[in-house]
Amino acid sequence: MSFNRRTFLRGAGACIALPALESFGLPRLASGASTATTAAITNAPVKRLVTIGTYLGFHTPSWFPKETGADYRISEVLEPLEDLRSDFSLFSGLDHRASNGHKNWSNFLTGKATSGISMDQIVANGIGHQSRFASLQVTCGSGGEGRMSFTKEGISLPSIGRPSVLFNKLFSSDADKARMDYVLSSNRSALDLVLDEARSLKRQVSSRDAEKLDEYFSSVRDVERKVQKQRQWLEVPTPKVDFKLPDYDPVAPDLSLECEAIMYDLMALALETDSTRVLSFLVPGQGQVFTIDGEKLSAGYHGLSHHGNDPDKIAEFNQVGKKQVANFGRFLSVLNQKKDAQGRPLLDTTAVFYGSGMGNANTHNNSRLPALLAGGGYRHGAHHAIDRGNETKATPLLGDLFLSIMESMGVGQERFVKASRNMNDYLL
Amino acid sequence: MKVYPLAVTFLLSFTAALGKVSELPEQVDNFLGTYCLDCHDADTRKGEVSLDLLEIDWTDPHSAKTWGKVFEVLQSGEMPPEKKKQPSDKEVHGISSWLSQVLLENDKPGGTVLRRLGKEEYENSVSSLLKIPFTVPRSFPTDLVSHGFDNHGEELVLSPPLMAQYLEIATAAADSVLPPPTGRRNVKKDTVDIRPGEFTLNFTTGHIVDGVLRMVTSSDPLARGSVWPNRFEARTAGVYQVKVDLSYFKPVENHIPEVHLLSRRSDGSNFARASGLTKLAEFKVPEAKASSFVAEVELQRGETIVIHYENAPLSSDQGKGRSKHIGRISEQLLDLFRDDHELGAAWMKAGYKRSDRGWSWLERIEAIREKGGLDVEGFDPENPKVKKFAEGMSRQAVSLVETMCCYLFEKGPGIDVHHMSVTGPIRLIEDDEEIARQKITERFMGKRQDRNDREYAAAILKPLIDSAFRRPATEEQVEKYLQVVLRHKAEGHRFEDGIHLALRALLCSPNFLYRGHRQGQLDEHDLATRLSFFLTNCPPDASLQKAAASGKLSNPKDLEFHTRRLLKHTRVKNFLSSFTGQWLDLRLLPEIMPDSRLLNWNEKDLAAIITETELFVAEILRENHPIETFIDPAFTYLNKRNAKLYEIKFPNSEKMKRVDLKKGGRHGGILGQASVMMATANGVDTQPVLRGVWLLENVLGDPVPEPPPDVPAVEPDTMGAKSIRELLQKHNSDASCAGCHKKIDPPGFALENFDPVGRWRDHYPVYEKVGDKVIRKDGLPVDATGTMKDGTILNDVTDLKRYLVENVDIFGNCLAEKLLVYATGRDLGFGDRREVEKIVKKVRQDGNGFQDLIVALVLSESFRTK
Repeated sequence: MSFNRRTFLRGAGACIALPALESFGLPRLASGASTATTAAITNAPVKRLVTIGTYLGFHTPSWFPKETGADYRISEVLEPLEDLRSDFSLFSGLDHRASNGHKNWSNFLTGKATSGISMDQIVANGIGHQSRFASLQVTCGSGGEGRMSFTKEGISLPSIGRPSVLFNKLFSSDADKARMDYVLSSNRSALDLVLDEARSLKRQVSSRDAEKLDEYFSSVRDVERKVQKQRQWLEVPTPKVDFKLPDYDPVAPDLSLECEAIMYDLMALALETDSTRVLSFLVPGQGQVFTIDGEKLSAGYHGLSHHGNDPDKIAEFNQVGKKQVANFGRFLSVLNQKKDAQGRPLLDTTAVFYGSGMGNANTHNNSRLPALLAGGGYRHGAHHAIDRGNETKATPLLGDLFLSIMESMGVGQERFVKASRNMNDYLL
Repeated sequence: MKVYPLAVTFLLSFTAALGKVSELPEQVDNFLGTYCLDCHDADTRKGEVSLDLLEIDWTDPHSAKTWGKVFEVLQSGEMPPEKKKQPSDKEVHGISSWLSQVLLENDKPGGTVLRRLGKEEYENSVSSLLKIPFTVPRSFPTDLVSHGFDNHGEELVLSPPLMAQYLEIATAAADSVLPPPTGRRNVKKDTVDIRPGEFTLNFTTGHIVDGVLRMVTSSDPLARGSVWPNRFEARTAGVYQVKVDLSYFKPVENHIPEVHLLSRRSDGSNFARASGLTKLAEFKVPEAKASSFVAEVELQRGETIVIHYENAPLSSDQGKGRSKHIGRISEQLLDLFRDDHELGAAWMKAGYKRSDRGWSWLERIEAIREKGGLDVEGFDPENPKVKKFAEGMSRQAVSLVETMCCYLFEKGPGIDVHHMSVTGPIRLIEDDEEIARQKITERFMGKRQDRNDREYAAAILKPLIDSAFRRPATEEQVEKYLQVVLRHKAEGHRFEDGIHLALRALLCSPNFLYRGHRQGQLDEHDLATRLSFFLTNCPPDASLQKAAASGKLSNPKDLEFHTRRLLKHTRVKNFLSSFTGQWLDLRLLPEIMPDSRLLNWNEKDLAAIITETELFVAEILRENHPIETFIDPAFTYLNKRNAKLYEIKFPNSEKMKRVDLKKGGRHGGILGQASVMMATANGVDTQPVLRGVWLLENVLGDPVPEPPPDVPAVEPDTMGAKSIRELLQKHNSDASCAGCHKKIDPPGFALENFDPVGRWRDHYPVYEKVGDKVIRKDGLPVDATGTMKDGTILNDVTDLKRYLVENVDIFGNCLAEKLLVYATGRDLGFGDRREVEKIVKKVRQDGNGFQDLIVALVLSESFRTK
């Protein structure tokens, strides 16, 4: 892979003119959240969430360590994380007890086959108003078939696959901001006009229709508030960063490992500049033939994932997995070096959940998913194997881990689909 | 039903005086007390129904529903229940007549609430308003379904996220007709060198050998047959010079490779087809020695250059039909065998193992060849056994073609890409998108001529507002938009910006987003709107607008003319897919994946069963066939896929053909088509209760209430020990269940001969594991018998069909109500339903044509009242 390591390091140690957004405080028109919730969010120990899913997953026997507890021997695929093992916990045996199949990858963050809200979006709904972007969704190139983040209406959120597009969104030029400011400010008179129309309409219609129109009034008012908030963020200068993008976007599918590394850099910058606090990254997988350490692999990535337990294919599939894990490891290291507004390592206040909605790509099985939780100030260092031999009601689900993560971010939930407990015992 | 006007006159005069309240006359009160209040008093409230009242308060929205239901169950004899004391016919007549009168008074046709445009209606409206193709972004919320349809006024809620979307889309749509001024980036001329290792490879599209990139296949999907540079894309629209160094690897007789250069968006889909891309240049490569090929090509911004070996003999593309596909691929394999008998012998020895694919398969074969001891002499590629073997291998089409590619990478023929360089832009060209946009802007703005701002703005906006509001806007309304434009310009913005802003407002206007503001009978414009959205999902076209403006549309003759005109319009396909897709639940089908033990299922099978039903309903509409055709048709549409499900002999073809059926048979019609049978099951097993409930709702027009919350669903016994009927009988021994199940079970069981994908069966399947394989065997026999509530005995689905044809008004009423609910976006009230009954009877007497039914409904008071 010819991604230039110097580019990466320059980005990592970037000199940043960072407006102290965290000290800027919550915008006055933050949200309709109750004071109690807002207090919970403000006092929560974890401020940021990153969720990462690789579409084709891993060869899990090469991913899960054989031993459990703190003294486990690092597995083949996780080897690049050896030096970071005190920064994360590994879980085996977790899933949502949801159905299997090609199309069910997306239950990774939603917990069920039919679409519902994903965990990252529950968090974004709770804490998103604190930053310029409530959440950002990222992938590499066209991204392929995968869908990871869903709104409560079950709509999958589109992802940004070009590094240059993500960069421009995060650190938009003055010209772009001027245009956006113009549109937002002039929208006011458009909304005034339509509200005026709605008022005259309301005088003509039946009382039942007038009730229906109230939906219109309250929706427009809500949008007005949102417009106001967006304008407030425009007044806050976009951070200036010294990061050099390559002069092409690595959107070609065989460059997705390279794209992945750049996306991680940009994600770290997005967190450092407090542009967003919720990031979701879908690492795509298609038929591309990767070149690893100068050697082209013998088959396409998707073909390798259907390895049929052929050891040669598994070895090559693991080569890709290992590179992905290495990219992820560098991301964790960068978050360890970068500091938040209070001078703490970013990783300490950022929960990073890494895994896949695919338990076994060879059979398209969505159970016993790879699951890793890093950062966030949790107790780390161990491999927790969940005993699925004699399942009881107390056997944790992946959703229970989500409940713990959400709780530590100040957006505690009673349930997450089938899960209603939590995994605090493993983490606190 | 007969009404006895004299008997009730005195009662009516009494209620009329009270207006919104009907006091119960003594006879009615006595009737209720004697026959109903045992269960439906204020304390017991069986089924959540209490009739323990002295008067009916019509201002309570539940009253019409409750008393409408009372009327119906008395008419049908469903209440009082069999075991209770039964009233005389005369007593029932008395109370029914009174109820009928007060209900007609108080539950008149009409009552649709303000309807927000549904998703498709909105898309079509924006598109027709701005005359640009338009679809909502993926993030757009979907509409909720109520009463089987997603266009129900009550459920078309407007939420803050949706409003935010409307505003964002309004800005984007305004941008697309009036783009904000942008400067074009100045891009310097540059040369990019692309080495063989710097191309995107997918699967086996290419292979690096001895420092060159070798290609051997012409497969059409890019991810299977093309390569492109992974780090080059045009940074601006322009002419670029491309130089490719190519050579012919292992030339063979009678084949000169042709190489095409194609353009593609660098972040486009990997499975786009080479045949669908723009060809930039083509070269013949006759020499085994590398030569340079040069072309000047036009690229749009963000495009890259694809190399495709156009006439490579090896291809994984489908011929027509799977067997041709297999034939084609096995023939390619046999060709390899003809050239290399040893390969053939080794391959036959190797066979196929589950993980074989590409290099790993080839390596296994080559290892066998290395080992030697093969009977190469005895290998004859023309031996039928070899042919059969090749066909067998071809069932693994993807793996096989990949493996043949790997073989050809060493054996040839192929082309070698030594180097590519792209220099440019040599000169800029007009950006395609920019040209198209300019044209849109010119058309949208028209010519200013010598008009002042106000006049020019009015010329642009007045027709636009009329069209958005679907009626001529008042002067006052238009004035407000003009003011927005003029004020904006006065604040220092451009005139175009003012129009842009007015357009943003217009697309968020309640007059645009909602329809049906006026009360009572629809006026000309609301009538045009309702009719147009009903039959085309689009706002009124020019002809309808004209008819409405001239005040003639409400004239029954004109209304019928326009209805029949739209029914012939190509846009009626929107009605067919939306109405049929929801009424018959075809929209659920893509979500259902049949159990792989039942059959192998793919997208084409799914397409076949959906298309069958769509073509079937389209023909009934187009030909004005009687509505009995839905139940018992003499035709259907087949291709080899659904024909196989029905065990009907059919040529081996994917093409849908109209086929005659014998009436009265098992298959055909909505009670026999695989689409409906699959939509009413879950892909794994059938549940007669679910199918029965579905039939009552969608065919018999007698929907049953939700089961009580604490009753568990009857789960089929998958071990096959107990029949579903046995399980249900136990369930139905409970009297509170029996009431509804007497209605649900007979029609539900009548469909039991159809398995979850609509195949006929006489036995339920049981599965046995034998070694690695699962074998299906006949289990318990299917028992599809039942007795309808009027005593009709059903032996199987053919009896249910006969019952419905003989009592076609049952189905007619159901279909007509569905159509009317879909058209008006409301629950039907008592008045609506009585009108439907009259229409259904009348249409039946006139031949029962489906088109005629739609026309009669459009002409009805129900359709024409808000």
